[in-house]
Amino acid sequence: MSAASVDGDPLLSVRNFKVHLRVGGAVVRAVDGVDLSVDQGESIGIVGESGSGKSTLARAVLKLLPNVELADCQGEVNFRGLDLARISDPALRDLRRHHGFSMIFQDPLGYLNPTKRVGTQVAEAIGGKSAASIGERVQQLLAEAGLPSPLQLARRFPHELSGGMRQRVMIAIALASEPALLFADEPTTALDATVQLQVLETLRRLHRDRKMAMAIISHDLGVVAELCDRVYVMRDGKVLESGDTVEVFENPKHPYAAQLIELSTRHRRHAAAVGSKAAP
Amino acid sequence: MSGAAAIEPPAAEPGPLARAWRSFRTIARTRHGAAGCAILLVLALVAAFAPLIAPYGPLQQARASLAAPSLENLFGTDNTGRDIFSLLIYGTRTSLAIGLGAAFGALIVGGAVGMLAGYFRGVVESILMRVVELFQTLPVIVLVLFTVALFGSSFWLLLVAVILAIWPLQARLVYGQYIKLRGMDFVAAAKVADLSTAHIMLREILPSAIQPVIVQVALDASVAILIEAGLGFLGLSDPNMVSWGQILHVAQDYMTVAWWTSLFPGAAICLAVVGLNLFADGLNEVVDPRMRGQLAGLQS
Amino acid sequence: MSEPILQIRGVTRRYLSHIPSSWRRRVVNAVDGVDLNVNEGETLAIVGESGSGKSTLARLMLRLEQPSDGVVLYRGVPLTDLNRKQWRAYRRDIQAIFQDPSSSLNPRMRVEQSLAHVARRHELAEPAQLRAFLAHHLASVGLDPPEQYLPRYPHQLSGGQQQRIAIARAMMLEPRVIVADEPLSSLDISIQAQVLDLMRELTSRRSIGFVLISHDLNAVQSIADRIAVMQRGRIVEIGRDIFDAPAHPYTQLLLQARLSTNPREVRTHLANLSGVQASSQTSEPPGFQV
Repeated sequence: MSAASVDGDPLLSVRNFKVHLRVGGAVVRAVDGVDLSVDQGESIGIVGESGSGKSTLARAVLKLLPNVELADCQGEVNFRGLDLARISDPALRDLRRHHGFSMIFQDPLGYLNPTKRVGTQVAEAIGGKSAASIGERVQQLLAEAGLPSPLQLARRFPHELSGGMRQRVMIAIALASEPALLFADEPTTALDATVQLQVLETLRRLHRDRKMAMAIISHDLGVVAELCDRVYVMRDGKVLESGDTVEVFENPKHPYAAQLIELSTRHRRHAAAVGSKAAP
Repeated sequence: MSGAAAIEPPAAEPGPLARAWRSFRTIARTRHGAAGCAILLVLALVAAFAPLIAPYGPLQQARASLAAPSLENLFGTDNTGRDIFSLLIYGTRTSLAIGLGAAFGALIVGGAVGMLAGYFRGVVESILMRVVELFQTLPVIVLVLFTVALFGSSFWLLLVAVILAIWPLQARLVYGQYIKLRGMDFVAAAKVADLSTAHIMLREILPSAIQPVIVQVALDASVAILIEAGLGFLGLSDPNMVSWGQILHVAQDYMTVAWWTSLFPGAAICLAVVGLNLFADGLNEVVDPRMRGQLAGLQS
Repeated sequence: MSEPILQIRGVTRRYLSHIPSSWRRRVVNAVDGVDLNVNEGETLAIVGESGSGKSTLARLMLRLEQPSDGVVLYRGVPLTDLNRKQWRAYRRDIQAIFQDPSSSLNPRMRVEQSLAHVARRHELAEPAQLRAFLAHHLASVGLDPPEQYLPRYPHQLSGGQQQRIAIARAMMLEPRVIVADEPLSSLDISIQAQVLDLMRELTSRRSIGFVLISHDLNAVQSIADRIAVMQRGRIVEIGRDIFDAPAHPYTQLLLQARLSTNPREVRTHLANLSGVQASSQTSEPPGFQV
């Protein structure tokens, strides 16, 4: 769904955002003056090649960058009217746990604790409440993330699951806080093609059923074409082009964006000849 | 976009010698590294210029035996009247020799065994790692006791004994590194290019394997000094050799009446061990952040 | 293109793998009874998902691993039976490039050193001409001026540059076939296109064959003469036009899993599915701002 938010104000608004990082001995302008917004229930995509700053942007906005690396961070970041730059730690924690924002990452194996069962990790994300009600909620979330037999699966360890299932567990954990906005950093890059399609379907379903806003960061324009209403194209820390996904794909204005799109769609004449994706 | 890279490669990096000097300066810049370097430098100078610094010869008798520290005998004298200050100075030579000698000996022996076991794996690995474990369980002190009882002690005996005690750890370290590195693509590429096994082990893998190993060498040296001190304390040292452990051995019986005979040798041993450990800390600084800079890029 | 330069006959590669949380071990056939010919001058693509065995098959071709069953033949001779001279010819004729260019070059060696070791081993140039020889080959893969690249360490170069150097290293030996194991997946899209172009140039100008292992069907389709699809250690389909007319259901599955890069198509498709008229066909939904 791509309707603008009811009250007209964006859910997340980022203005003139800059992030300078310490890399080796030098300071790198990873994000160099970015404007971005996400409306309620909307899904946006941030595409770029490596070094474009897209991941750094997301992590900096959500305050996930380690202090050691961060040399400077400027700009306005507003989430539902709250200034994230000046927000207190407890308030930030509250946002992360209740109806605020969540993030899923590229590599679930590195993110999940290998020594804890999957169900335990989802339960920890829910936090509080009695053991009984949590158990039900855990299963609910696992099922919502598209995992079969949640009861048995909750007892497994991460390394016992396939890549796609692990990614779904990470999604379940992210959903635990009932976020209004879900960030996904290269959510399907590490997955096989067939699994990728299914996980994208799941994300799409969640976006629709929960009316949850999504920000998808990817280098793969196919992912963005599948999921996103609007897209931002980044390079070297700047947004070169943004707009409605169909518009940008069909009439790109910036030459770099045009080139990226051309390269990704080169094969389309072959793809068109093959059996289409209609009728699942 | 056609043609080759759009990015200009940055300026060339300096070679190994220049890098070593830069590493040294990085070490000296850390607090630990600087302190360690300073201590080691002092010890090295003392060892080198011992005859010039020491007021008395190593076996020379000063005045009274068991004299308390005074202006003539800064650290007092031992039970035979030798000046302890001079003994410590000459002992520095022995300790450093055994410390560094054993550390490098362990590097060579352990490094060779670890390299072969880690690279070839299979049967070679099984046999060699059992040997490593055997030596780890060996009671070195008991063996040294036997040998000294039968053949008498000597500097070389001690050196070999300490090497036997510490080489297994280095072997394990190198083994782990080779196991990790042998699976890397550049090793596969070298095999596909028909480069010889010796070349791959020594020229391709070794430079990457060496970094944590170097830190271990510094730590090994400190352990070696401690072991030598222990063996000397037990009386297993060569009596013709001046070593800190030996001074302690003699001092055992007089600990309550002549505190200076045990305090100062003990302090010297501490100083050397601490100095080497601090230096190892500094080395660690060089090893880790450099890896981060070289291998990790900023992914975004 | 007469006799295949490489023949793979009934090759199986077995591993013992641990069943999680159990004492028992399980036999896994990473490659399971595969028959395959690699012809000179041809680009053969091997596609499949993770666990398909395509990388293991590549390593078996390169003799980085040995088959548990079956035999790999070079010019009709089993690899285990090659004499010294034949072995050297095999190593020159069959070269490789790997997935992660930053780890396929020795991080502690300058580019010049890495390449020189290979050149000297195979006596490709007189010592006095060595540098010029290396420079020539760097230039031929598009690294110009080559003198700038020779003294660098790999970490000073971009992924695309590193991959080109890996290609140059393989090309120096004038191979007949280059086995490329996922050479594009670590690279940015724009760089992928450049490396693909380079590979195409090498096949057409120098009639070098490639065995291209990839999970990227689009890249494969643009360059391959023949395509083999692997699943769980077996080749399920192989041929010239299998993407245009896939016979095997797994091939069809792979093709269907390709993401559409046409957002308009996606929207229409979704709208049809949900039975709601797409409002975005001709005009943008209200309230949209860049």
